[in-house]
Amino acid sequence: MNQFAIQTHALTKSYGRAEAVRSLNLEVPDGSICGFLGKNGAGKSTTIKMLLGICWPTSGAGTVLGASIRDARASLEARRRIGFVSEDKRLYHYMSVGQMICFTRSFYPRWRDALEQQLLRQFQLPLERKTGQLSKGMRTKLALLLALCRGADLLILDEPTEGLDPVAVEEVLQLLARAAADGATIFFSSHQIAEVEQIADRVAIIDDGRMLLQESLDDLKERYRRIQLLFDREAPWKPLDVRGIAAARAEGPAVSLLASGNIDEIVAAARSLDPVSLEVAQVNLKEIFLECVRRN
Amino acid sequence: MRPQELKMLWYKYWLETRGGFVLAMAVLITTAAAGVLYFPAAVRGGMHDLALHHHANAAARGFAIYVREEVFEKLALLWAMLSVMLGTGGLLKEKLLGTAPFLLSLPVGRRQAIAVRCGVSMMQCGCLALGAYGAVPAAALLVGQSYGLGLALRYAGILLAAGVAFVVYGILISTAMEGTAWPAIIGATTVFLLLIVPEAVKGIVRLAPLAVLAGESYSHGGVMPWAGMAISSVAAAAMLGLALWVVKWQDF
Repeated sequence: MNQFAIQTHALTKSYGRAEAVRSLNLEVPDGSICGFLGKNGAGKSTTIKMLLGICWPTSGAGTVLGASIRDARASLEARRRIGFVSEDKRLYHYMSVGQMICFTRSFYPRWRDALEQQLLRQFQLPLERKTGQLSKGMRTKLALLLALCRGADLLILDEPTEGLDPVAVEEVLQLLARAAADGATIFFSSHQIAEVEQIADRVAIIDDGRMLLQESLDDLKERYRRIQLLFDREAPWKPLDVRGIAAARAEGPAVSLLASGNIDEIVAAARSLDPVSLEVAQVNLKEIFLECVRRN
Repeated sequence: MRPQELKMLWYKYWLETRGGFVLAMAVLITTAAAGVLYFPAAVRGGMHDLALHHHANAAARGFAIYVREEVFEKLALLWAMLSVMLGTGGLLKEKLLGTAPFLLSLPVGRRQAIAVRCGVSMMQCGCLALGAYGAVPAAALLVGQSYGLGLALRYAGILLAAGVAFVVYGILISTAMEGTAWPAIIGATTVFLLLIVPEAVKGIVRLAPLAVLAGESYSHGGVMPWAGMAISSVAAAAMLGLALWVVKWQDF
């Protein structure tokens, strides 16, 4: 059995001269919940489309559930085991909610009827209403229902909580956590870093088509530290020549360092500057993300 | 593809195109009925000036000739244009509407989607031909004439067999050209020109596609337009093959 539900090697997608995705090496282990973070236009949706065979890579390779993304037949078979929510959640406007469910269900022998009924109640989706008449939030809920009920081994979700109110977001995050507990691998993109932090156990950060970082969230949080220095004078600002300093900022008597590892050495070097106080604090995913993107 | 999947894909394309299909059927039946109901007026007009009025000229030669020359030719032209318009749509249009990622995330191959779309279009165009030509015998009764249903359906069969290329042309043009309305407009316009221009050129009228679609050789001695039907079938197969090849490499 493949160790990774998703694995890409040097995956590249160009549109003319513009490279949307550049030599991307992505690994999503089986059974993980992987948050895929990036700014608008970073290449998240293009990557997802390549994984699903919706667009073709310019170069590089990849497998999804063991099937090569360049092999149309294998990719089609893999899609029987994949649930997907697209970026804009558009569905067939001429179909009612009930027709959309009936249509989608026919392609998935492992369709989860009980979950369908539960989600219809939970999301309060009107079966008779045309999808073109649904609000964006309702459309997102329907798209999630259509993805979750497939009984998929892998859920690929492109901004699955977009347009939802906070209560619905919480419900969806719980549903995703439950799907993962049932054995599904979840790969989802989001701009809501707090959501990723809440349920993901792994994070991949992409910017300008390049993979900046992919790591387990626990390892990432263990590795990164914020080091705050306070001086009794104007901060003696000079760059510390120590490996692992991801960012440094000085304001008056205060200096803030973001360390991406090698904490002990950085702390020792900082102490040599003779600050009146030195604090080492954990950082959240948002700080790490912003730092990665700024540095790129 | 499992039968249930095929059925639902067929159902999706039917829902997607049924509005256009009903409209096309209404246009064709109205045209057929109006053409037949005009027959008495054409006969009266023929007494004044046979040379100037084409339909009066045809009417003077009898109802059957009038139907073939005045009704079936118009129906064939309209049918071909409407068939192209009905055939347009598909994955590039879905890309514009934002639904292509959903469809392609299902275990549905691009070529399967095109093939089913083509099947639905052919079925609809078949129904259009039968409906329009079938309306002629019914309308004939209203003007005190008779026209055999079997004969009308034979002409419908000729139209369908000789016009299958136009149905597939709609599929091809919407596979190659992005847009919600432009492929239909451009497709219908090119078909109109293809059918009308040769009609105006003396010497090739008999070989013109419109004459083939309208079954002219069949009306002049019962000869089926085998060559025209064969050319249309080959062209349809070639265009379908090209559409399937193009869609394989597209990004959505």
